[in-house]
Amino acid sequence: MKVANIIFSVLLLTLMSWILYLTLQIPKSPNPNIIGPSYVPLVYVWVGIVLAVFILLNSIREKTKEQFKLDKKFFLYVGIAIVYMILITIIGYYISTILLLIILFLLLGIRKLPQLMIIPIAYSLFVFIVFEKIIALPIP
Amino acid sequence: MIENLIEAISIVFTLKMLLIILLGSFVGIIIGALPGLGPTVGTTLIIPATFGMEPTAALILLVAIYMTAEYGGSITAILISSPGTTAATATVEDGYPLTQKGYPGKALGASITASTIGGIFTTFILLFLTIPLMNFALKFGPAEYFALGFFGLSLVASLSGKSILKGLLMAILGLLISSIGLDPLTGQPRYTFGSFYLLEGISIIPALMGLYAVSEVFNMFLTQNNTIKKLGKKVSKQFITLKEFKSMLPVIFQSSFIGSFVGVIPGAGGSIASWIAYQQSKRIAKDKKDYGKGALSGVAAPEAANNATVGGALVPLLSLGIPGSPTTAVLLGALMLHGLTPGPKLMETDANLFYGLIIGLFITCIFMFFVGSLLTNFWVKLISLPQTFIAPIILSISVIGAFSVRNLMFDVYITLGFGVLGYFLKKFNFPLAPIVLALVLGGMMESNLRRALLISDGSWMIFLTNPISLILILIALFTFVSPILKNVFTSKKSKVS
Repeated sequence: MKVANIIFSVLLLTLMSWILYLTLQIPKSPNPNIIGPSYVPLVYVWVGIVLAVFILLNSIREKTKEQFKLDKKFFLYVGIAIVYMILITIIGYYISTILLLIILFLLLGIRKLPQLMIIPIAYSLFVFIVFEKIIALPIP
Repeated sequence: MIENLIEAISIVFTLKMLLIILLGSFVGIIIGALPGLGPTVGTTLIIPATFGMEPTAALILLVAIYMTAEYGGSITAILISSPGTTAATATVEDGYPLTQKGYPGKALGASITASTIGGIFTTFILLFLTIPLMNFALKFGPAEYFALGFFGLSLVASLSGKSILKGLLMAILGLLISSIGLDPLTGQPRYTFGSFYLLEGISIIPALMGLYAVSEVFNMFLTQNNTIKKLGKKVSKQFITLKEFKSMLPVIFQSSFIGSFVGVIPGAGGSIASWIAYQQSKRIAKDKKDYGKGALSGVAAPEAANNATVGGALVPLLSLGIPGSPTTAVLLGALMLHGLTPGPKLMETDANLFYGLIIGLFITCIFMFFVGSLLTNFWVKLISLPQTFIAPIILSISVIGAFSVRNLMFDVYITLGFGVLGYFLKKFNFPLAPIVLALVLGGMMESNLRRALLISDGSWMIFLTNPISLILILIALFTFVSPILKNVFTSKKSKVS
């Protein structure tokens, strides 16, 4: 956990530094008496950098035995979610959702065919009838 | 006030509204009972369904879910010792031993009774506290509003996590995210990377949906437990007796009182209230010897308290427009989507909304009692549903929700991005509540700060010469410094000893 904590703190510090770089590019107020669009974010980002440094120092000092392992499956699921969202724009919400549910159910260990077929279709019908027809929500 | 309430009764007592409340109670209890999903996820997921409704109906539905989810959390806490919401953690202490002894019916009975009384109690608190606070806040100018935002945010940052540094950094991150888009005063684009979609900033609903719902979905995928603990015995239908009810009453009232007032404090929600109530109830409970071994009062105290926080939490939201918890931030987002800005002027423009909400909450508590107590066996079946079915469905509902706010796929990608961010932040023990609050309050804080400085010709003294803003800022600073001081003193003490 310790190494992971340090890495995460460094990432946060990097994020803050990047935001600082972006903030410095926002034009300053022409009138020194009136604070402009970049003033408040600049205060935030400097405070953020100080906090991130302290958190990094804490994560170096602390002693924990907890193990943090980033499950590689995480990237698989994020990947599936990305593909799902792209598929929606191509083949529509309903077909992509049925595919998504079947694939995820399979990955999560459901092997019974009736469950694999009925739940995705029932869910899609539910969305169609309740969300699209009754509530009239825009469906992607 | 009486005429307004009578008028509100005629608005709420329509078949449509009653059905909405019934639906809300049902959905709320289910979402509350499912481990990992609480009132924040519940209200966020249901927001899209409220788009077509009038604001009053929408708010009542959301608050019904909020209220009943606080009860729902106790079902899983009692039956399988896995609290459905963080606010029900204290309920496990005495609720689960009762189940093990074979009295889950009594535990659930104590919980639903306490929740109902807590809910009704807090409705009155909401009714009587909001209007005076509104009248007080009518005089607020930009300096006071900035100080109020600063105060609320700093309390949330220091109370919501174990580490105050992490909480503060999350608040800063939220404030920076809220700065994305056109500058509110000059129209200068900030952090937009030339993207057209980012000019309006990050929409609150997709961000919340990502941080709370999608991150939890990933968590469920990776820690799937299909083998939910089987219930030992069949749930006995034996409900609490009148005598048991009477013996719990003092504890229920004390806890409702604690819950309502803890709820008002930004950052302190149901989980803090329920622990305080549980600890305090030990003093006055008639069955204090049984604490930890299955005391009915030990179930009633946290459950009355966590439902009682709901009305308390709505007080600052409605009267000042300042949410103090993630769930009230969702409600603020929902109200803004309906074109309403809560705050002191709400009464002039939408008095019916407020009184309708009061009546709606009252009916919600009644419905919650019946739905909760009559369908006990149904809840037991429901919680044995594996998360495997639920997580993928939540992911696809989130897509609809994120899309429907502006009809943009862009917002769906935002949701996924925040989902990944939320997953990592939770893994590394960074609290999410400060980001959400900062996201909601950031724009208002910055505009008020800059307006105040325009009024004072650039002098920062305006925040210190104004008594209300001075007090709020001092309390906020104190919340930052007090844990550090505490650390210094305790470490000195330990060195001495």
